[in-house]
Amino acid sequence: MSNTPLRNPRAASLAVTFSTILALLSGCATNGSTQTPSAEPSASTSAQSSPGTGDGTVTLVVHGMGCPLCANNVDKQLLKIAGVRRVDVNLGSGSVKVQYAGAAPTKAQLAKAVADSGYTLVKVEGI
Amino acid sequence: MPRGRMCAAAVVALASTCFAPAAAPQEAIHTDSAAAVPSVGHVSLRQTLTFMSFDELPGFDFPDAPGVDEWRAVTTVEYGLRNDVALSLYVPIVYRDAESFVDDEFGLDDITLAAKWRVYRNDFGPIDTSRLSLVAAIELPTGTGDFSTDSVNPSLGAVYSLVYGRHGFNAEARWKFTTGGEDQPLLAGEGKADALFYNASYLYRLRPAQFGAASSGGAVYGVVELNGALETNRDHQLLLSPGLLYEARTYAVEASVQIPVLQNLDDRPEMDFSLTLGVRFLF
Repeated sequence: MSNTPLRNPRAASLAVTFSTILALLSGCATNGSTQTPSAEPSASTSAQSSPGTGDGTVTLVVHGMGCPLCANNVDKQLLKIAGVRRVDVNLGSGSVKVQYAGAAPTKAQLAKAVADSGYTLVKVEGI
Repeated sequence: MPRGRMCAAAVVALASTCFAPAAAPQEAIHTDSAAAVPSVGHVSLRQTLTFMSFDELPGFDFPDAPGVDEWRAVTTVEYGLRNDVALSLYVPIVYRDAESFVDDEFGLDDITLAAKWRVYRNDFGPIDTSRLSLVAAIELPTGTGDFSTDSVNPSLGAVYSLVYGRHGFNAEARWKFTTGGEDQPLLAGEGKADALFYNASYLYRLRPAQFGAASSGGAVYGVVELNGALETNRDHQLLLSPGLLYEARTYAVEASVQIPVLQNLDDRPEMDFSLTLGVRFLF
């Protein structure tokens, strides 16, 4: 048996085909990463509540959100709380702004939402 | 490539791209991630398409033996049962393209059910976290034709993940107990020998350098992995797998190549290389 990768012409040909697909995919990824935050599909855009229409804002500090998908986990859980209209996550600081209409969510509700998302709630400000 | 083979390959590719994929935090491409448990009640879907080239057909160990290529589309569905427990279903569809007079094969490989239990979590910064999970899985004889091992094969393992600033690290070890298996396997763990799979990965966030409100939408990571398989029949394989990963808020796209760095294989063919494309979605 041989240890030499790509030793036969057919494999090399397939590799070229595959690398073309990779290049196309890479283009998609680049396009996605350069989207403006408002164009990025996210829980905050899906809530579609215009800023300012909420009755208030609560700010959470959450730790452990290691990537953009993690932030989406938090979005989804917080948006399950009645009255929550919009969630904005800043991964760099761990700040999570929760806009709500009507009665403010309780600390227990916020804590449960963050716990269900799998991260650590450090602080709640605004309640 | 004859028309029939192209059609079959196209079916696999289409299946791969239509059933878009799963979601996981700084998860490597071939290495599991302890941080990758979907939140309660949510589902992640991952679809990978891997092309593998081998130097000879299983059982054809002689000079100038015909080679074989394999396209493998794996759909993974993961459901967050609790905030620390996730259930997974792995469904592989395979197209095996032989170079010689041997007929090509297309069908379903054995399905695997798995459970991941995160037993340790330390979130020590906004994006910094350290997590450890235990993983139990069972492979069921659901495959078609020669793809199935016709046996029930459990496996147990653990996976550790660390995210610190721009750096991510995952390490995984899993032991597969085989109760049956193929006489002429193509991949590690498909034969009659038990197998230890060990994987390690390092991810570096290429951009953004610093997450902020304006850049929380997506990130690009460079990935390098070592994927090893050591079997009780003394077969040993170690692959180096560089790749790229792009993560947005609801999906991720990944690409990787695997190159063998060590192959001491007596009971199955050596791999020339493999290429993997994947997509993950979080619902």
